[in-house]
Amino acid sequence: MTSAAGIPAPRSAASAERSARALALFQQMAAAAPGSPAHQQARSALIESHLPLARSLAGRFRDRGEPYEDLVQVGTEGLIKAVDRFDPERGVDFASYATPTVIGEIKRHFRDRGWAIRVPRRLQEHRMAVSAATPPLQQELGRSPTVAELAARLGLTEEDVLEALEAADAYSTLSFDAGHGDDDALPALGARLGGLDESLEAVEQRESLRPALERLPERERQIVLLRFYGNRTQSQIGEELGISQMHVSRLLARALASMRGEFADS
Amino acid sequence: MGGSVGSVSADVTLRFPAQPAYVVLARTAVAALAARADRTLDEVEDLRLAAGEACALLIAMAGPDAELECVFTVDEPGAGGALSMRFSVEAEPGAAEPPADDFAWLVLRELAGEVAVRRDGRRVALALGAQRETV
Repeated sequence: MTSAAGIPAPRSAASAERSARALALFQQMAAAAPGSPAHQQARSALIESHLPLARSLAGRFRDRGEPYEDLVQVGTEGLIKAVDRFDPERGVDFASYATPTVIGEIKRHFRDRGWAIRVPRRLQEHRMAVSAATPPLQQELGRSPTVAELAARLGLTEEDVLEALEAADAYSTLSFDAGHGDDDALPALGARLGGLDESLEAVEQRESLRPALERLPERERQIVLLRFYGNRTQSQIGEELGISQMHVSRLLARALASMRGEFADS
Repeated sequence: MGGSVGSVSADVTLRFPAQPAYVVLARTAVAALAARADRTLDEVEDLRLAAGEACALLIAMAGPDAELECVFTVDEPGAGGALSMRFSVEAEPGAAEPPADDFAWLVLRELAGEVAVRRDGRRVALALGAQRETV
């Protein structure tokens, strides 16, 4: 709450402590050379300690037709941008600074999809249902389900399921027009992905490819490496990164298009 | 299967201007056919991407006013059915296809199984044959 004069109301002790901890980490980050272990450590700690913020902001956009985990991922990208752009000298609280960036990133995600204006409610519901039913069905089957299997599970027609998948695809095509941010490496995540190092070595052999890969946002680069050098399926990648397979597919399409230079990076 | 639209076996041919705006047609067609050939979602999405990539490669080589032709074939409908795709375009004189060790080829092989390029005069064709996951 803000008073009429615009003076912030006193914060709770817990929030003041959180804010002081964040400030200390930003100072540590500013003091260390970019790319140094101390810098990366502070940056990762900042990102991780603010993940609850990204999650709670993503929660505001629940039930609007996009899987929650995808919104959390998009919100986290916003959070990373905020961490990289924040200037502790300005005396602003980081959480207040980051909130509009995270929300902006989530809104852009919806805008890129053309979601709100283009997609009938029924289709949104089907898409949510398909994305919610896919992981458990995959668990049971030990492989990715077919459209027929999903339809049977959900009591929908195959046509409905296909429509839901195609709706998802329409947005990935639209989103080719949207530029995307330049996230730096996120070591905490990279370390979780076994086999990526060997994949990167394979890429080292291909000089022509590396600049194109390096221009990709971190998450897209990871997905490209995992799919094409790490021999993972789209749903395995989704599981590893905690996002839906549909979102993996969209990010892959976007990454391949930007590697071809189909749109200028903004 | 209740509500099933049935399997598909005929060849499906699609022809459109060799421009990026139309590629979504090929992506949509292949997804619909793959789903009806009982492919898993992973395969459907991979094939959709493969179609987009193949079209993009050919569009980059296409001459002005060229049309891109896509032929989709479900070889053995039903379980075990293999979906193959053939994309072709009239190439600009002197346009070369990317070298075989190019990333584009790796992507197509990963997504769609086998990849073959054929050149017939100025017409360049990309044939993709998909191996299926065991269902």
